[in-house]
Amino acid sequence: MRSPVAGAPAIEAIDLVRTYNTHIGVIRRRPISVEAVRGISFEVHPGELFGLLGPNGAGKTTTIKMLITLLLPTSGTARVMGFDVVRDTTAVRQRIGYVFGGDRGLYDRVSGMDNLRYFAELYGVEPSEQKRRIAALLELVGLTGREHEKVEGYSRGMRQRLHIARGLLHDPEVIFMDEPSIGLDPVGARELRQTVRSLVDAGKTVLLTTHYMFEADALCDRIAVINAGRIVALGTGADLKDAIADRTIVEIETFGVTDEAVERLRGDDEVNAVNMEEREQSQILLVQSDRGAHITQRLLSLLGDTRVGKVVAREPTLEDAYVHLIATTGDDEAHAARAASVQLG
Amino acid sequence: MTALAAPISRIAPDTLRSAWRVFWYGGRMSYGMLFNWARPSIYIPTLIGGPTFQLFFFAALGSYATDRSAAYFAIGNAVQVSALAGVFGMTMAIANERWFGTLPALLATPANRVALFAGRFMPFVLHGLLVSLYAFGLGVVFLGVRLAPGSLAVAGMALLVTVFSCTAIGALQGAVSLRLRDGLFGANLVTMSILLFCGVNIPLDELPGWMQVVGNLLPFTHGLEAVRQAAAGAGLDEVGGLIAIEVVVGIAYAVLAFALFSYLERSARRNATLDIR
Amino acid sequence: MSAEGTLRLIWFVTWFNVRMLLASEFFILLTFISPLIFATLAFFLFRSGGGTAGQTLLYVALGAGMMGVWSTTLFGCGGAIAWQRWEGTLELLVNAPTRYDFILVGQTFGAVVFGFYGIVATLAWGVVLFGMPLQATYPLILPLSLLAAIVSLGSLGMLIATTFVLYRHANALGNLLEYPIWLIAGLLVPVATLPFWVQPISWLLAPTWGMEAIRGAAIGAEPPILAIAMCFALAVVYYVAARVTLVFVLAKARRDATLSLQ
Repeated sequence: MRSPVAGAPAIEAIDLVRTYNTHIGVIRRRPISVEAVRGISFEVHPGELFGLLGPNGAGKTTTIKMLITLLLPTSGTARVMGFDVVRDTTAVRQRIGYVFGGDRGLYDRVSGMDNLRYFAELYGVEPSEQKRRIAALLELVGLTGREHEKVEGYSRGMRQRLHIARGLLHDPEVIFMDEPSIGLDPVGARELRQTVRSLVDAGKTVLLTTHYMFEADALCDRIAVINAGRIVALGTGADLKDAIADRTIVEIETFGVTDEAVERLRGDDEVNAVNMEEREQSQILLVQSDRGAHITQRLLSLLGDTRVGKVVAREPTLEDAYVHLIATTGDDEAHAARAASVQLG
Repeated sequence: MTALAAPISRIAPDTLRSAWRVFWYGGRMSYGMLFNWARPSIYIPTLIGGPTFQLFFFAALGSYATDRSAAYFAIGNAVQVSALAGVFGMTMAIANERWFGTLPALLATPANRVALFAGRFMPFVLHGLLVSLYAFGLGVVFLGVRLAPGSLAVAGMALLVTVFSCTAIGALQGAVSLRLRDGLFGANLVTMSILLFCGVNIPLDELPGWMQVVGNLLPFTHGLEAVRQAAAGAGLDEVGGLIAIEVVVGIAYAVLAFALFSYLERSARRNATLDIR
Repeated sequence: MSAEGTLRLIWFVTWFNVRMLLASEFFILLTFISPLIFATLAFFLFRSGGGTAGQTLLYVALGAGMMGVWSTTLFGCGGAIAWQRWEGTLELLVNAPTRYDFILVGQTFGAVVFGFYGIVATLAWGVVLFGMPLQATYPLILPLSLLAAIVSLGSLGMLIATTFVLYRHANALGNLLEYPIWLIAGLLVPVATLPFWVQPISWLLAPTWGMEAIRGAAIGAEPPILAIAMCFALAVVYYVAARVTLVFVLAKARRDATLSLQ
C-alpha cells in the first residue's frame, strides 16, 4: 500500500468524466447517453474548505460520488489523500467521511445512538473507544441528551447533525458534504456552517457542494463553479467577483413590465444578461452590461412606455458573478433561463 | 473539540475480526431496523399468514387432484417456507437499505460487504426457520403429518442444510437484484421455480426429464427429500448422502454468489444503480 | 364533466395504468409468468390423479389464468394505492379537480384488463406446450362471460382500492389474500369440496362467479346464466359499497391527515 506524498493535495480530480447510459420509452426502448460530468479537474489542499457551487443538475453530486468511490468515472483519475479512488477503494473509504443532506440515509426506527453505534462498527472503530468517541461527537453536533430517541422523531436539523456525527465517527481526514444545508431553516443552517468551519479549523479538509451561492461565499476558502458538467470558474470568492468587477449592474424598478420589453433589453447588443425579480407590486430588472452606468439612458428608452421607479447602478455581488457565469456557460436557452433565476438563499 | 482531537484506533477493514464484528454486531443491531415497512403487529401476521394459507391451499389442491395424502403436501410446503426466507432474505435486506436511502452511506464505508449483508439478512433466515417449525406444527395438527419418533434431529439437520443452500441461491439472486429496479422479481421467480421443480408438490419422477434436471440443479430438492425420509423414520445413515449433496449444492451457489456480488458491486459503481429504488 | 369527457378520462387512465404495469417487472411476473408456473403445477397434479388430457388442460389453464387475474387485481388495485402513497401522489390525486372515483375506475379496470392478458398467455401456454384444443361449449356466451367477469372483478377492485386508500398497512396484509381467494373461489378446487362454512363466502366473491361464467361457457354442461347474473349483481353491490366507502374514507382522511403518511 502506498503512502501519500508529503505536501500532496488532499483531493485531486483530473479530467473526470461521467456518462450515464439509460433508456427512454417502455415498449420500444431507445438508449440515450447523458453526460453528467464532462471533464472536471481541480485540487483541494489539506486543511482547505473547498466549495463546489452550481445549479441543480450541474454534476455536483455525480462528482462527489466519484470522489468517494461510489461511482466509477467513465474516464479520468481522482485521488484522495494520494490513494486512487478506483484502485485503492478501501484505503480511500477509511479516510473519508460522507455527509449528505435531505430526509433519507438514516435508520428511522432505531435511535440516533443505534445509528452511530452501527456505523462505528462499519468504520471499524475499536469497540473500547466507541462510547467515548460517540459521546464527543454528540457534544460537537449538539445532540447530547437526544441520542436515545428514535430518528423518525428528529427534526430535519437534528437529522443533519446526526449525519455529520456519523461522518466523523472514524476521524476521517477528508470530509465530503453533499448539499448539507438543504431544507434547513436559517438558524439550523447557520449552526451547520459554524460546525463545518470548526472542522476545518481543527485541520480537516472539507469539500462541500451547494447551490446556495452566499453559503459558498461565506464558508469556503476556494470555490469551483460547476455548470452543465464543467467547471466554469475556480478561485476565491474575491477572485470570482473581480472577474466581473467592471460589470456594473443597473437595477431598474418597473411596474408591470411586459415580456416583450424584457426581451427587447436582452436583445440589445450591449446587454449581457437581464435577471428579473418579482416583488409584490413591482419587478426589479437587474441588467448586466460592459458599459455599466452609461447604458442607463438606452435601457430606459428600450423600456418604452413601461412605468419605471428607482434606477440604481451598483457594484456586482458574487451572486451577479454566479448568474453571469451560469447564464453564459449553459448548454441551451432553457438551462440558462433556469439558472438565471437561482435562489437567493 | 479537545475530546475529538484524541486519536482513535481502528480495526483494519480487511481482517477477519472486522468482518466478524460487522456481521455479528451489525446483524444484531439490524434486528431493530428490521421492522421498516411495518410494526411487529403487521409483520408477524404477514410472516405467519402467508405460509398458513399456502399450506392449506396446496394440501387442498393436492389431495383433491391426486391420491396422495394432505400430509405429503404439508411437509413439502412447510419446508419450502423456510426456503422462502432464505431466498428473500438478501433481497429484503437490500430493499431495506433502499427504503431508507442508506445504501450510499453503507457502501462508502470500508466494511466488508459480505459480512455486512450477511448480518442484515440473518434475521430473515431465523424467522424463516421459526415459521417452518410453526408450519410443521400446523401440518401435525390439521393435516395428518406424522413425525416418526427420534426423527427430529435428522429432519432438523436436513432442514438447516436446506435453508443454508436456499440462502446461498438467495444471495446469488440478491446480487442480481442490485442491478434490477425491482428486486422482488428474481426472488419470486426462484421461489416459484422451487415450488414447481423441487418436489414440493410433485415428486420429481413424475416430471418430464428436463424438469428433473432443473430440479436437481436447484437447491432444496435433496434437502426436502431428506426431510421427507427422516420424517418417515429414516436414520442419518440413509439420508446422509442426500444431505451431503445439498451441502455441496449450497456451497456451489455461495461461491457463485460471492463472485457475482464482487463483480456486480463494481459494475453498479460503473452504472450508478445503487440509489435506484 | 360531460359523459363523453368522463369516458375519455376513464379510458385514458385505464391505458395509462396498463402502460405502467407493463413497465413493472413485478407485474410481468405476476400476470404472465406466475399463472404459467401454477398451470404447469396444476396440470401435473391433475394428470397424476388421472384426469383426461383435453378437459383437464382447459380447466387448468382457465383456473390458473384466473389465479393470475386475481393476483393482478389484488396487487394492481390495492398495491397501486400503496404505491401512490409511497410516491406521494395519493394526496394530489384525491384532491384533484376530477372526481377521484373516476380515476379509481380507470385504475382498477386497467389492472383487471391487464390481468386478463394473463389468461391469454396461459391459454397460449396450453396450446403451444401441450397441444390443448381451444374449444368452447357455448362460444356465443363466452364474450358475455368475459365481460361479466371483468366488470365484477373491476368493481371488487374498486372496493379493495378504496379500503386500501386509508389503511396504511393494507398492502402488507393484502398480500395474504392471494392463496385464500384462489382456494375459496374454487379456481382449481371446486367450491363444493370445501368445508360448508366456507361456501357462503365463496358465493360473495367476484372471482368465484367470474370463473364459473367463463368455465361454464368454455367447458360447462349448461350455459352459465346464473354465474353471469351474479357477476353483474355483485358488481353493482361492490360499486355501491366502494362509493360509500370512498365518501367515508375521504372524509376521515381529511380529518386525520393520513393520506400523505407512509
